[in-house]
Amino acid sequence: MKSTVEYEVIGLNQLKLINTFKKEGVIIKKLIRQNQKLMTFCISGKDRAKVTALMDSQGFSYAVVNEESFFKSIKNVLPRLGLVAGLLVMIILSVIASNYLWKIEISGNDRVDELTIIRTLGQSGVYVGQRKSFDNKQVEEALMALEDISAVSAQIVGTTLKVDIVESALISPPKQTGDIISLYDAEITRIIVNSGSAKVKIGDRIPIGATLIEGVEYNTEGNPILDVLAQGSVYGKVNFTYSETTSLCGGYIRTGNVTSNTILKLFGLSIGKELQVEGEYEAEKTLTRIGSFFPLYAETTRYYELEKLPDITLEDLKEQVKDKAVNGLIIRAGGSAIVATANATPISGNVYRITVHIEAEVSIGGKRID
Amino acid sequence: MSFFDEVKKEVGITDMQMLSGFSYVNFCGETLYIEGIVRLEKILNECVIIRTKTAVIEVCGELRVDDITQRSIVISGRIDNVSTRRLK
Repeated sequence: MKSTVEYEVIGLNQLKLINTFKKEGVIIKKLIRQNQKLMTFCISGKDRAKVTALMDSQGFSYAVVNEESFFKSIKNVLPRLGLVAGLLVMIILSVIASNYLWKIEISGNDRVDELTIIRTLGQSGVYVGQRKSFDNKQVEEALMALEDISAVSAQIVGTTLKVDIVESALISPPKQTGDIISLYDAEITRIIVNSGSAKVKIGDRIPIGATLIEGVEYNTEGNPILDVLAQGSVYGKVNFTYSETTSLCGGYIRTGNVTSNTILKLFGLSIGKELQVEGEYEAEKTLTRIGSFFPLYAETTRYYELEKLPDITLEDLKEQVKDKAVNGLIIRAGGSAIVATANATPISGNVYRITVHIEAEVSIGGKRID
Repeated sequence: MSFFDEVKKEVGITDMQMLSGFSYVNFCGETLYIEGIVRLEKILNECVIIRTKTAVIEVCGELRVDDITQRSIVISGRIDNVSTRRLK
């Protein structure tokens, strides 16, 4: 910044003075002649000595009206120290903030839910407000483990994480033909044909995949006459096995007493203390963002008091697992005339492997898929 | 090559003529740049008279002098008239 000095000069013969300045190589700027006796002008700071000497030699009265220099500019700013300090703080905060992740942009996902991707990123330790110091490769590997994703690119651009997803091609559903086939190894107990021809009879033991009802109508000579859509129901006796490793420990239930504790998190630092809870409890943590500009989060932990239930006997345990297996079968495949037996194999201590064998009559028919 | 150099070449004015002469450019009637001044004869808000080696230039309007160097002057404001009177 060049320094300039503004003079106010009083005296006649102003033109003579100006011409003298011109002759001496002094550059005059913003010359204003107020009247015949008064004028103001600006000169460069480096010509100050020359100008004052010339004005003194010609007997002019003069005064410095204004002076601008680098140091004077600094001095002018000092009364606004608060503003300067505020600006400095903003600059420092901006520099610090540029080392953190502020936004996550996801593109290319049609079938994969954005929330799923963000949750997966969170599990890999990547979230908004975190330092930009994570491994891109790890993030990409974590996302590749998701279903329907065939390629991932995760790049940091400024303070934004750009995640580009390439989803796997949709495989078109398989074409169904007219036959009804068996979904289990079974012994046929009932056959109901609405359309088509039965290829099995009651009492037959058939393997999985065997044709039960064919989508063809035959005449009395056994020659096919018409292609139809096979419709009907075939039931058979099927054996199922269900196994589970469990213990005689009765488990825990919640008493209803809840204690909660909240810790604030800013730039990875924690404000607040972890609560020390005594006894048996179940903890649930939730993270809520409460700052719109700064990455300020509230981590709330709810502690549910637990009460231990009394241990159960082996017979009760076998019954529990047997009921679970039978209910699961009914939900999955329906079934009637169910016969279930449970056997227990000790593993260690009060831990057992419970195996349930079930024989049930279920609908065994399903459509053949090509 | 500068604008003035091109004009000089086009018109056929030599550098020797330029040294002893003057030139001025009026930008939109708001700023007047004069080169080749020798002495300032008069500076008023309504009128500035400048002497060159071969002529006297009179500028009229609502004027203020923005810059004066050894050989040039910049006059700004509202320039109503620039007239040149050749010296004998």
